[in-house]
Amino acid sequence: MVHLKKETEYLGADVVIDAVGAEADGNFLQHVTSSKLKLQGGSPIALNWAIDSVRKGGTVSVVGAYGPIFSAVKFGDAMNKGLTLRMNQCPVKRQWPRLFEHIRNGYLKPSDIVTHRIPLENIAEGYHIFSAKLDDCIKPLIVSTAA
Amino acid sequence: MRSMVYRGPYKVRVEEKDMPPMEHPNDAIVRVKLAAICGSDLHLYHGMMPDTRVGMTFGHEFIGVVEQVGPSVERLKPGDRVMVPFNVYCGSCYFCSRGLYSNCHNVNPNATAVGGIYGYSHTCGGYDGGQAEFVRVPFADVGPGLIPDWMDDEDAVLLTDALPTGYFGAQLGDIVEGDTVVVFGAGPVGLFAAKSAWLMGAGRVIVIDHLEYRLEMA
Amino acid sequence: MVEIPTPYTARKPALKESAEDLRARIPGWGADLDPVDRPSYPREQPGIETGAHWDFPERQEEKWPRERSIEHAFMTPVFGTSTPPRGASGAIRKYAYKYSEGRAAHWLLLIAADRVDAWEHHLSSFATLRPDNPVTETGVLSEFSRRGISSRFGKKRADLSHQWIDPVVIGAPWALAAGGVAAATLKVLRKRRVA
Repeated sequence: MVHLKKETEYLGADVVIDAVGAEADGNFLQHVTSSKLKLQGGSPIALNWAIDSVRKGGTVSVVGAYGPIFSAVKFGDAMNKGLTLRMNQCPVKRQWPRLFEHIRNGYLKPSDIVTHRIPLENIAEGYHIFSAKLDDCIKPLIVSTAA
Repeated sequence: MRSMVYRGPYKVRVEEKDMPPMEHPNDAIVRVKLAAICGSDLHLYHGMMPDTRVGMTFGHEFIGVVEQVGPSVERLKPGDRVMVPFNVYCGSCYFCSRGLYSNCHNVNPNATAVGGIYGYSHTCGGYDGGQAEFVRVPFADVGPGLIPDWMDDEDAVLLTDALPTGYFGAQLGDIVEGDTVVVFGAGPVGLFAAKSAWLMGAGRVIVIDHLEYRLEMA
Repeated sequence: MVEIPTPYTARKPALKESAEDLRARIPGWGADLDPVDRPSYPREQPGIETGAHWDFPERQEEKWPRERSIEHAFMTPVFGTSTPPRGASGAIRKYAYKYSEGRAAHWLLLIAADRVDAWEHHLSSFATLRPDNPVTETGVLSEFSRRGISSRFGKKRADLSHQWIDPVVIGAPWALAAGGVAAATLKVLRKRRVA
């Protein structure tokens, strides 16, 4: 957190995007109560770090997925800093026309991040590797046997 | 048909399941070609989402070929190559008609706080997902889109959830030219959010993750 | 101090790279600078074309009493039909849906039902030809086949401090169950030998 502040000349970021979601890690107690014991709707570690690292009056955008029950978020800090919190599950089809243009122009190449292509029958292994983040896994694809 | 099936936290296996039935005139059955595992699928895998039932199929990122369509489907026919967004939505409720497809009110009887999502526990409607050979796709006239001829299958499957979500995250940030943007999480969504932040004119983009290999990809 | 950092004065922080440098380095930089080009701006767009050719969809047939949240006025026209509730876990789920979504009891009961469901299926699977096999189903074999173990060490990872918890949490119930079965079997065998 302090490092980030130094990086931005002690101001903080203008915009912080939380793409981590419910299983954020970094704080042992929070991780155990939320991810392991399921007492919270999702580990708030990433959200709290997001609130800490954004500048006063900045925006926190949340697209990481969380569960339905409560999580211990530092709401007082968010209020005091005057943050704008914006979030939703993405309405996908609306994004397509513009994203198609970007891909056609070569600005984005999504399949670069695919690291594993696993047949449907081996899906248990795929889940394990992705879950424990082994073998440098970033995005596994499942090749269906019906294709 | 062969299908992935949840057997409890940290346990999945592949079983023989019945073909998904057509339950509604605007349904389509899609034969899956490629599916993906999302980081949020891991929350289901770890048993974190309430009402995740043993026997359910996960998978909300998939593309394939239309196998069968219901009587009221007008825009798709069997044989069409389609990409299916992860939202299940009707297109006609209060929220869909204002463009909030992920908050549809007509597809999820189990919870009003969330819309419908394929293969994401009964809290998101109880729809079986795409990590299988066939999927039931409700509202085939509204959701699925034809894959353009110039597009790769792998790009298309990433356009069903990961890339739009990252792009959407960057839009929600209201990025103005020169802004400093920090992205927490260098998974697929975070990486795409970082790339999208550049498209929106960010001055600096910093990506944070606790695993070094993911930062190398960034 | 040579220079006073940004927050203490009115100026914006100096950019490390100018817009021209960025445009040269990153293909497509600034393509969506204008908010009008962004598809989700404004977020609500009444009258957007969705492809729906109905005002209210036809109602799907309810083949069994489908559980629904009490915050819905009626059963939604379309719903998922995966895995109907059954057994003890089904009873807990039906009870959980009597609570509003706003109450913690609703969700905590559903999570409890999930655990009961998992064990109901594990136990009943031993009576079939396909018992649950924790070794194949958790995919731990990939630790050996796909560089699993080697990719845990030698790289900077922040989750090493709690990686040991996972095998304990997941393996413990199975180990205890197996131990319990073994102990009971030994007891029965000893009794028979004495008798």
